[in-house]
Amino acid sequence: MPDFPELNRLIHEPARLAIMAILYQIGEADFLYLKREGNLTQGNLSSHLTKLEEAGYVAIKKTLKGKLPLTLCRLTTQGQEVFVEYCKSMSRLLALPGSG
Amino acid sequence: MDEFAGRRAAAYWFSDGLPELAFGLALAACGGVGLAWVLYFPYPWMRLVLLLASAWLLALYLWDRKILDVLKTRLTYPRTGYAQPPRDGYPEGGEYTLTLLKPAAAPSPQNNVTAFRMGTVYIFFCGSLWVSAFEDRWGIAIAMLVIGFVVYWGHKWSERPYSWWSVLPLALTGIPVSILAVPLRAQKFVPMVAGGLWLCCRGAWTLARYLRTNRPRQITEGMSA
Repeated sequence: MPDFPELNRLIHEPARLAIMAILYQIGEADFLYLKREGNLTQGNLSSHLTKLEEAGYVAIKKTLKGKLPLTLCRLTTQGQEVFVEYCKSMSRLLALPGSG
Repeated sequence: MDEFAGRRAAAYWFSDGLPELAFGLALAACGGVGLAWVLYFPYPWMRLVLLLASAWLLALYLWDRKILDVLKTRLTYPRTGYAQPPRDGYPEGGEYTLTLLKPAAAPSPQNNVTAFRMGTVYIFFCGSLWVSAFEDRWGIAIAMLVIGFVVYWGHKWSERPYSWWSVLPLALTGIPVSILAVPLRAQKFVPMVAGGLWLCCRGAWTLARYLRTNRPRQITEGMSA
């Protein structure tokens, strides 16, 4: 019987997974963009970002672009590595015999 | 389907139509000045006007990210948010394949790409040079058909695929030009003018749709955490 791959539970939550996937693909995005793309409410996104930031997966920087206040988010190196590892675990899980 | 890592960013970059509008205006102005110079104003000072129009196009070609970023800061980012602008070109090292479940590696900024300058805009430049080689009245009609096909096929799998019916008017532009017997020396500017106007129309339509769909926010962006 093959080993059941262990998934990172912090990333496995759908909203946080969406945030990680978006940031992995884009590189850097602001709060509003993540809110729209992830279809999240402001409070929901804020709490998920805080969890990801505390885990060291996401770096958050508050800045100005022209007169526009921006909360810029990007994956840290650790965040990128963890996300890649999560994707590999998921691939292994989906490739297990009997998984379809 | 395999995708660039930054396909999402590249598609977002074009969602407001500003890149197409800016490059379309530059191309149309440059080609239009050239056309006017050849057809109506064969005076030496027109060389200077053509030079200035070309310099504007070159500036946009070199610094389009910075120029468009200034425009987007006022128009796009307050409405739908900021995402890191894509680079122009293709990723180095052949890292073309990535799916969510099979990431080859962490995406480098090189993966976050679009091919607008080296794709769409370059096609019209090369088309203009290519038309000069024709010595026939109907050469421009054939050339525009080929350019239209290249624009359609070249973007079929890109972040901004063009539908065949939207490219059709561009591809058929050469026929009236041939019927009107535009002088051969002026025909080399037709791909730039037609391409520029076509991009302007697309950009203006996309921008109007974007502005209608995304109203300005009442509350400034922020994070409470």
